[in-house]
Amino acid sequence: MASWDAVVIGSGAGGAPVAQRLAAAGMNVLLLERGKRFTKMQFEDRDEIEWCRRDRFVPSILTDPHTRRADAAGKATPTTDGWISSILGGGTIHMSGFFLRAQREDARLGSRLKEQGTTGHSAIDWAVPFDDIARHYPAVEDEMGVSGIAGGKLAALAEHPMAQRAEATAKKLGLPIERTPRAILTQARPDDDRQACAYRLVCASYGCPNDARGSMLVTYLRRGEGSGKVTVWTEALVTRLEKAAPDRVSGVRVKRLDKGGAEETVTAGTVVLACGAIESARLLLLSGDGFNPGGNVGKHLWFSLYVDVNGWFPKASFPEVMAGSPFIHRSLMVGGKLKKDEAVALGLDRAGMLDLLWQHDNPIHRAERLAIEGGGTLWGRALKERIKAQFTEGRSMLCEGFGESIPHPGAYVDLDSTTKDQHGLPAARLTYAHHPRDRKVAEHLGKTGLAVLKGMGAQNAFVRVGIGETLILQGGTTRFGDEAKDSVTSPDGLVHGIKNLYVTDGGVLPSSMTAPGTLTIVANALRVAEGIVKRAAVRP
Amino acid sequence: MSAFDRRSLLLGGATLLGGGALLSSCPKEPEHGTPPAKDAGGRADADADGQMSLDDVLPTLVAVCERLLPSDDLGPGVREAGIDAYLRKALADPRMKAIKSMTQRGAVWVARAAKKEHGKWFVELSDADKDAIITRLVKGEVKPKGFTPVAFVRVLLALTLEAFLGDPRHGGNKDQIGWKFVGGITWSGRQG
Repeated sequence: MASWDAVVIGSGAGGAPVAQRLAAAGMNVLLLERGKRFTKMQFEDRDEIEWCRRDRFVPSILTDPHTRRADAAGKATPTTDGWISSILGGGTIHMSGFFLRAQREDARLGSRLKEQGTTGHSAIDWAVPFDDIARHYPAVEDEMGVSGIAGGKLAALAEHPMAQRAEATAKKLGLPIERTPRAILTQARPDDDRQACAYRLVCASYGCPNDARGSMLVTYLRRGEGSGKVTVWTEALVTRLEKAAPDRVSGVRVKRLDKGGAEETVTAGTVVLACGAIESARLLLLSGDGFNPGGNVGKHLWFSLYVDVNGWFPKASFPEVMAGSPFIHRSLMVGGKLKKDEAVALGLDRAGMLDLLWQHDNPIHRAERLAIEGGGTLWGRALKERIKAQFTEGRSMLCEGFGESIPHPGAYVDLDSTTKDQHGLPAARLTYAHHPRDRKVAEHLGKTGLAVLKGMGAQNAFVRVGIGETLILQGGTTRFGDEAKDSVTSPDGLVHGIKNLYVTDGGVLPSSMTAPGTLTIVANALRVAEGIVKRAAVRP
Repeated sequence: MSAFDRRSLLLGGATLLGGGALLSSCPKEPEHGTPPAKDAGGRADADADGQMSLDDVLPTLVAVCERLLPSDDLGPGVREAGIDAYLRKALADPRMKAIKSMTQRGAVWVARAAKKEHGKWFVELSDADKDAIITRLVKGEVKPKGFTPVAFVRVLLALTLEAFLGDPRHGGNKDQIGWKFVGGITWSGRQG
């Protein structure tokens, strides 16, 4: 039976930084990842069918489904929704890399909703002082290589000429606009074997062959493994956590998928759970009642609210659209603050942010969207004409909205007693509907996004997704709080009542924030790691 | 939930082939009691459960796909891209099991509908008659058992676009004919 100072389950934004920090403090760390390790050479590939359409990053719906329903009365059907990524490095391998800081007000969601008289929610304030997390932001930004921060060390990414048009429009509309901080290097880091961004045709949804994107694989994992103190097992599926005493986890049961499914128990002084909000909650629930002391595991689920507005820029009117950098690289309304009159009219204090980007250049994806745009099914000559025009006569721009979405009793994860994965384990069942406040937020983001694109001169601008969920930006299911009655983990990251089991993924964050939260997940993971180092007795 | 109701992984992911919407439109068990049917160019026998084999239904599927993205004066269609080879390879992929099952059901229905209405197999019909059958599927004017008509067309549309615009290593997009149609960009990293 193998024994370690610490076992970290999950290698994404919540797991890899902890593994590296514990190792740096002298601990022997085992990092378990259910997915495979991919190499830089493999990331050279841009095969849309294999990478983006055949479950390369996300487990197959046929073998490892989640299920989803809108409410407790509904029938849950199989879905891939809720999976972030099943690969060494997690979602950071193929993320867009929007690395925005959270706002102090994001951490006061419970109080703010009370002040507004909003009911029907289960939001709480963050029990962790915001500054305790925020003080880690500079170090994370430095390690990942975040470019485009005002006054930051790294120059901004090259940007498309349309960025200037966006600036002018935002000014006219009175909307704050700034460069989008991206975890993409603009200068090589030879010591880390990372090159600068090469501005390939497609970026998000693929691995980065230059290691310019600050994935976990090229930052914390590389550093951790380089120290000799982090051992990585890929294709290692943790099926349950085990206890030696009511208040101590003794180890984890691991299924080695790369070794014919052989099972073994790994013991550790400290266990860190970082599988993402859905899968960490599932693992706690699979491990029995002793891992759900207050009955809150899986509750208070949030997904970042998502809105998608589309606009067409024909090259006849905008000759510059066909050339230049793939990045427009502008965000609006960062911080989520509303103008006073808007806030009063909407009955909201904050909403979310918008960002501008070109429609993804994956050709099948682009053509597919044309075929079903507007809810119909376009085919035959009419589809061919649209494809030809869309690819050669202009470019589609997206104005995406990321909004604050609030937790409520109708949004949670539990185990599906009827649907099991290929290993016979109950699937995670998502029950998810939006709180009425979310609709107001989404409506505002859609309306403002439309005004931005129209102001820039877009033709045929329309709201494609009026309200949706950014399913990869997920949290709340193991949220931190002072008491077990409304939270799962303590401010230190420990599962209430268990002295050596931590959770460090997005699940611990009690609110969705007004911007993508990956940076905050990493910062919080480092904060918790600091505490573990202070508390854990390091073996000689 | 609409097909766009997510920021698909992360961007640029599949919308027509993904998710539970497709799976829930395909029953888990084959439709029993379906007698074997002979499709043009195929064999008369069928699997024990009444399902036609891929070889049986392939000519019909190819004929539908060729109407979804036709060859015309605008340029080559999915026929020139190699839809036949593409479908043969794609549907043999174990990950496409549910999709294969659904397309087989759909193809059997289409072949029979043609025979019933025109006395000919679907592949023998004129373009106009083929289009009329597809239109009825798209508009949901027919109520076949065992598959959802619009979902069937959309799945074939997704496969058609993959055959036209996907990496040639999968058997379609012969000589990069689809990429040339949309501006001559080579998308695959391996090919430059």
